Amino acid sequence: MKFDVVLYEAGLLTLIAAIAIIGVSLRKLTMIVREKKLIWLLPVFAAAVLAVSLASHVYANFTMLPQLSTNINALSQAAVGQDSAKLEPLKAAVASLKAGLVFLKALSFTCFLLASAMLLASTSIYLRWISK
Amino acid sequence: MTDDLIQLYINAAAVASGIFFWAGFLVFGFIARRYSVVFKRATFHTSLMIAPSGILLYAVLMMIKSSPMIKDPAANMIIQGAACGLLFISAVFCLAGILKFNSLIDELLKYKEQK
Repeated sequence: MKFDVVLYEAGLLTLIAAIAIIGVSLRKLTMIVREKKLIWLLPVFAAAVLAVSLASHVYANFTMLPQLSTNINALSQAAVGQDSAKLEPLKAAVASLKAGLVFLKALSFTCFLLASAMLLASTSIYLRWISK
Repeated sequence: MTDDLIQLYINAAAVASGIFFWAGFLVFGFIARRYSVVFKRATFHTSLMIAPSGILLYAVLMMIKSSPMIKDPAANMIIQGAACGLLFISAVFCLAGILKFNSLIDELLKYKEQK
């Protein structure tokens, strides 16, 4: 298990908690300024989207990466033994896992971007209200 | 070519989201500061505004890591570890600051109800 992966995931989990609490705080703050808009939902959605990012990161690191290394090992053994019957399916499996990992990485960072944009939008809107 | 484009998109998204998170928490720190000035109570707004710097540093380190200047895998691993560590520390401090501010908001709401 890679230490930096665990640190990243622990950081992301803490960030999810922090953003969810920002949502709760913004709800109370909108009550204080008597605004009835639902901007507090934006950080709550951001926390949910970030949870999807975390889930995809966990799945990629703890399920797909071990599968990939197992398949690569099997592929190298099949290549040494010149076992062409095993070689092609293993090559296809490795290619499919690599494509899946790239997809999950792109999904994870898209969620990260969406969540950050929602957080920035909600806090900026509230700051504008109280700056009037 | 497609893989390069996807990698470019991932790097750009990591950097942009790091900057957006930093700005989002910073703005929340400004909100806490406003309440601190109006109600003359400590909101720990300074720590709320400083804490997200780690998220910004994470974005900067990820940018350095993905630059063509860094070719050594060992250096890449150190940068990745430092970036993840900074993200974690920053997230913990942000959470602590937000919890403090949230408890102050609770006090304000109680005071408002009593009035």
